[in-house]
Amino acid sequence: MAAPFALEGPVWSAAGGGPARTGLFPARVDLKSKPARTLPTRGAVQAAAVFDASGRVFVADMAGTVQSFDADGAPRWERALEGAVSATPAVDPESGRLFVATHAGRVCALAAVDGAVHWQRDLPTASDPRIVGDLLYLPRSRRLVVSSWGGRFHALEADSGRTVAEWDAGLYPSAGAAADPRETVFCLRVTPGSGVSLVQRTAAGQETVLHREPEGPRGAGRTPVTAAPVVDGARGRVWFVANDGRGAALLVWALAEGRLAGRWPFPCGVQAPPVLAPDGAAWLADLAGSVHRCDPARPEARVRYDSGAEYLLAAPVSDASGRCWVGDPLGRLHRIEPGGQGQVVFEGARGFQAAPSFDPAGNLYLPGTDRRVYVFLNRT
Amino acid sequence: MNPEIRASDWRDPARPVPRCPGGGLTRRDFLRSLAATSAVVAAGAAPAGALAAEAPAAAERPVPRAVTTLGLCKRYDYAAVRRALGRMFDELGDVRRLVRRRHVTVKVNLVNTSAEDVCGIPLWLTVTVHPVVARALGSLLVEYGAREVVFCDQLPFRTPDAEAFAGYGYKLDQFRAAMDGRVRFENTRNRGRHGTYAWVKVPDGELATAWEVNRTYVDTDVLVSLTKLKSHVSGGITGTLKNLFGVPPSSLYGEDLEDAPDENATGYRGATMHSCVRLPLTSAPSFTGRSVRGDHGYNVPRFIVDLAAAFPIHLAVIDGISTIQSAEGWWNGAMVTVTRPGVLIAGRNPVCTDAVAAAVMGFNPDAPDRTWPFVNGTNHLALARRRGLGENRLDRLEIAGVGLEAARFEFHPTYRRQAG
Repeated sequence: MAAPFALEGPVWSAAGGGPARTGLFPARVDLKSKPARTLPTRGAVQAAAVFDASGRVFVADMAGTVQSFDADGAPRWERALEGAVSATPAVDPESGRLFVATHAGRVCALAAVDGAVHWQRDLPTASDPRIVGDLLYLPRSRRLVVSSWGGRFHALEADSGRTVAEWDAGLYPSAGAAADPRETVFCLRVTPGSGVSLVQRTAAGQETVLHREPEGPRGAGRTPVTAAPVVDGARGRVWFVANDGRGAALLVWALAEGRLAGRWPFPCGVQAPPVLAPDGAAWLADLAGSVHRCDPARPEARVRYDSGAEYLLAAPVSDASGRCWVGDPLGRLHRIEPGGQGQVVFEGARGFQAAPSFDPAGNLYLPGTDRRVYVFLNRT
Repeated sequence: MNPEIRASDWRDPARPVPRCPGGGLTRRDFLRSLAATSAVVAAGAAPAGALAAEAPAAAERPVPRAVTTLGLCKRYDYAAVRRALGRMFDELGDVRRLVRRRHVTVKVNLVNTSAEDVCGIPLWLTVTVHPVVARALGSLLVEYGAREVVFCDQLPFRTPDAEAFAGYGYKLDQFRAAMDGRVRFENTRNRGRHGTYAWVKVPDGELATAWEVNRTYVDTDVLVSLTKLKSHVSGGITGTLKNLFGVPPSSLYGEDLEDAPDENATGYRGATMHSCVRLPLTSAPSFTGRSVRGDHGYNVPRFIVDLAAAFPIHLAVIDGISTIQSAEGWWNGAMVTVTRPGVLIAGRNPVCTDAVAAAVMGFNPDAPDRTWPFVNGTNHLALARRRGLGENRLDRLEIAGVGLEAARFEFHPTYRRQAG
């Protein structure tokens, strides 16, 4: 399978791998069906694990604890924060910092090596301060992009936490932003009367609304924005999900042409972001328990896999072979082939509500709500 | 069973006083409540801070405690849920004896419409008690010897009761098959099949001195509260105590009433028991006027406790298999998200049970007012303890089943209305 997908490196430093959020690991993996080990946590894990180049893993949990483990699973450090964490943290490999944000509205920069606090600050808000959207780190401009239920995106200076830019994030923003290699940021916002907007914001701060999905019949207040956009830099596309309160649509925007390149409606909502396949298609898990493969080149040939769960809350991940893996709330890990055939390869004690992630060696880390992260080794 | 009485019984000292769960309302109670109401009206509403102050002596009163049991159950599979609940009831020890040869009323948490969903996910996976849990519970109660089990809540539908319940997935024929026919559904939004309402007094009521309700909640030997494990914007958590909020009928407390009771009413109690901008249209005054206009976080927890004091719950059961977090219903819109703890909770004291439920959700059940999860107001679990209804302090509670550590599943906390 041709693979013009040099979008994320092998070091998954943020949700979906990196700033583009592709969820696509740039090599083929062959996972063992039983976890080699588990990483114990203090609370249920609802954020993906992230890594640095050495394979060191960082896990934040709903008890508000952040931990670091070596690549072999040995614990390195642990730090308790105020407020639970469900937003996936981000790593800055240059400075060796880990950025974490909490439901209490606090953003922290920790030393990746020992968890020491470099800086921490509370985002200003006139309402609920929680931060639930995955963090985005922009390495060139050394900025951290984060939003809270206060309804603003904040671009923070990575060294100090000082706000250097902010912009409208719409109602109850629960989705992180994504970025291309030039650090043009893409984000979604829902506003009353305007529906769901895909917004492009350049590094210089120029904002353009690329597309608007009309407001659904239930109104903006019932339109969740939970899935970050996904940037397919090689093909110049941005994938995004627009919920309408009951159903949803998966859309793909062609940047060069300035138009939609595909639209796939769903009768139910979608919580998790899409994931790229190496051939330019996208995988999407929906709130009716199915995983879909949608291909702009063949929009009519939609592939669907029924997980058997009543709904899927977390995004899948994909590898260079085109396979994808997704955890379900019943505690099962599914492996799905590009043609839609799939199977349960593992069942844990309780549900999976966060996306898996790959370490640099292609080992899969699956966060569990049973206070552990399952590690499946890559045989290749 | 309580003897049949009429709505006017409390006015006539010669008639027998009903054995209501919280005690029937006597003429003396009624006169006392009138005097209390008048006094407050004359004095005007007291400042919230003054009313919130608790008597130090009351805080030290011994309070009832009972074991709470926790079970894990991933799926709404009837056999699996029934097996889990049966094991949990055995751990509680006396559920069989509690219901044997008794008439049982199960107040189910079904909420104010069946026509909604959360992002396309049905209500029973998100907001309301799943029918499989209710059916498994009913089946066990019948197996234990219950004479009849009535599932009730007030539903905003004027259709026949079985039809109204069917919208929530409660199919009467399935329940009959599982319960040897010893089951009824009753919509308690008004007087229903009964000729009269029942008055139930509130011992030491703070915002209400009595409740005028459908007789289903009175003409029973055992009251079960069956609810969903959820967050709640005004109450912090939804538990078996908060579930009682559905007891006061729309026909007397509904916000769609004009100037008289209406047996056709279907409205919620927002204006009377949340924002407290109007009084209910009960047949006699029963609210003290000590609520704070517009302050849900103050009023709702106090009404919860006034309901719990009047309607003692004998068995508390919580469906925490699949639910929502951050708030309590579809009406909270994009603030809620679906989550799957895969847990069942049961206990004989609702305060203890709800306290353990809060701990399962990752919260301190004795947290100070206006802190998570009670971020928008008063901790009703602590308030219930101070009223002598049950223990809410975790270190004084006995937990059976899989234990708290195995069951713990942190929720996103309740949505904060204003910056803290």
